[in-house]
Amino acid sequence: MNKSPVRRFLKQPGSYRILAGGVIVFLLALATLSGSAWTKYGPDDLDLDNLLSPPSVKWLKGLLTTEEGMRIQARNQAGGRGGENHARPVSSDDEDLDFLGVQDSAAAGTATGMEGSGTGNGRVPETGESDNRSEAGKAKPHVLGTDKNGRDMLALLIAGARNCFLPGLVTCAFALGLGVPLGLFAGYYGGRVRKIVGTFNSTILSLPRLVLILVVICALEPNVYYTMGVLGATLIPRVSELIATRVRILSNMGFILAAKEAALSDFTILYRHLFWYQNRAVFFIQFSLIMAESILVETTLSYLQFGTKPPEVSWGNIIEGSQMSFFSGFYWITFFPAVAIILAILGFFYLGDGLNARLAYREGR
Amino acid sequence: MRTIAKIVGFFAGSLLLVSFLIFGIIHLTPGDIAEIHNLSPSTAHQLYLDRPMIVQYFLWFKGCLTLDFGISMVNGAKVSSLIGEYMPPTLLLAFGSLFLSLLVAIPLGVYRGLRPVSPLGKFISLAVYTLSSIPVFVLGYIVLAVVFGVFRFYVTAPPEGPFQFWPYVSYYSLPIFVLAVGNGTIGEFVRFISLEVQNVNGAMFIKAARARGSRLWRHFFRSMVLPIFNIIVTNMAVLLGGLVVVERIFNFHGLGWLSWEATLKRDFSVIMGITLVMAFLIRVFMLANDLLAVWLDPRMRE
Repeated sequence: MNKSPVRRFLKQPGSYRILAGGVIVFLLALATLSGSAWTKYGPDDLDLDNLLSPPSVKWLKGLLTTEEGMRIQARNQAGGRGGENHARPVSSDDEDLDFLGVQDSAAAGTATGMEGSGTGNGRVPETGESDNRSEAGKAKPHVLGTDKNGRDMLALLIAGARNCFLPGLVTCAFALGLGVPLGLFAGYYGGRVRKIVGTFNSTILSLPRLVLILVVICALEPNVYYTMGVLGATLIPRVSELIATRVRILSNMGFILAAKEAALSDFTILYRHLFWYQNRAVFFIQFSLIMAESILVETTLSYLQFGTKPPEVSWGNIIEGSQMSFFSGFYWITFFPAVAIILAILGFFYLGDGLNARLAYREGR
Repeated sequence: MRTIAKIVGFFAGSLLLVSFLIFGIIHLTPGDIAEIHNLSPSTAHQLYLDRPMIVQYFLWFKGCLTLDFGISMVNGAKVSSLIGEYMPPTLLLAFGSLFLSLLVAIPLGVYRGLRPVSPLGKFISLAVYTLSSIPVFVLGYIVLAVVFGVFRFYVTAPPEGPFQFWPYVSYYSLPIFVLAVGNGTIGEFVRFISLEVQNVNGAMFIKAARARGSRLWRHFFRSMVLPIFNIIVTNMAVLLGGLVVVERIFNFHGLGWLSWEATLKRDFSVIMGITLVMAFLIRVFMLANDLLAVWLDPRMRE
């Protein structure tokens, strides 16, 4: 039958998962690389006229905005556009905002470590080229709303993507960089090497991952890259056992015996024949799954206040910083980061799982 | 007999290794521990901080063998009594959520394993994947929002005094639910059980039993006990790790909450004690798993 390559791709198992995961991962990588260069607001711009303004997309607003949120936004606009009291769009005795710690906008400006000067007229002077940013009176819309400091949610989400993606790469480097060689050695040499690797693995496996990370945080400074390294170390057993099982089966096969007879060096046999020709699919699958895992752990740690620290933005610490806002009508501050976290993890999971299904299908043939 | 001795020896050896690892990581800390916490010389002496490092380790480990984990560096409370106080609710939470996840996962996993390509089977795998990608704390917030916004029944403070049904149930139910669903436990169980059912279903002995017309479920049951226990044991570490997050969200006073608090205050002796106790728990489960394997599976006896 004469089938197009697209059709053939889609017919294999797992192709839809690969597509869905791939799109999400691509978007995430794009957000990491581009940063907030193309958005109307940067993550550091404080739009003090629009504290806690809800998303400006019409259908989203109709779908999701609670009555309380609408009420507050109406009052916000009335206060902000009123003329004289630019500095305080919301008066400080407003009971809806008190729990968020917004006493006045100057304090909010300095608390986040942004440039606090010039908050008197209600608008933070933009640094550098800012002609596409908000002009007086003609504010650009905040597509996903703003948080309690007037920061644009979309810009925050994009800035957070970077702090999810890059630590994930550190985890992968540790887990795969150490796990793959250990697995190869254990599977190929067997005997004592396998025993040593096994002991190492079972020692790591008998500590709860998050608790081990807490121990390291307790001993050293809470730094995302340390903790991601530790996370990578706790994932070594999984990778190395997977690789070792496959290599153990492979190393009794004809082509490896032939390679030995041909007096190829162990290095060539291990890395070219056993790893690259036979196991690189496993490598990429594990890469994807480990990225998912590390995003999960990074956001969790940021939520526990041990990951990315507040001036830096991470999806986890956005949720942590606005804990109770969900219950008082400001759903968008916690809702969008939560959706972003779930989508990012789901994307990597789907990608890994789809690739895995394809690998199983191909090897089964 | 020799196999059993080997297993128990491995158990003891790995605990020793784990304790050494914990001690080593904690003592990587830059600076003097006694200075970080401004400890008085007598307290520092009580915690063996004035001895050489290797002596410190052996004294600490010797204390741990007699359940004496030293004293807290922040408020001087005995770590063993702290752990004794916070452990029972945590154990109830952990085993409750384990029970709940098995209760849900076994039927789903068996169904998916028997009919992997049916619409319901496909739906189960999709749902399982989506659920396991929701982090515990996000799920915790969703649950809290629903419960606070709609039902308004949750009790946030730990119940005190004599046992009363309703406060206890509401205090434990939400953390148990979130820990079971959000930590990926159910997802992992369903995936593993269905895979195992698929394997067993295709095995020769089931085909033979089917041909003989004997009762299939007995053969199934016998061959499923070990894998299910095995997956429980491998998930213990994940479960205990998830406790930290769940207890923080629900302000549930247990070991996870205590370890979070200890990390925040850099209370080294408390975190060392908790980690060692958790590692011991996990190790005991692994030991039980190995012994069960020897007992149920004659091939393991060599």
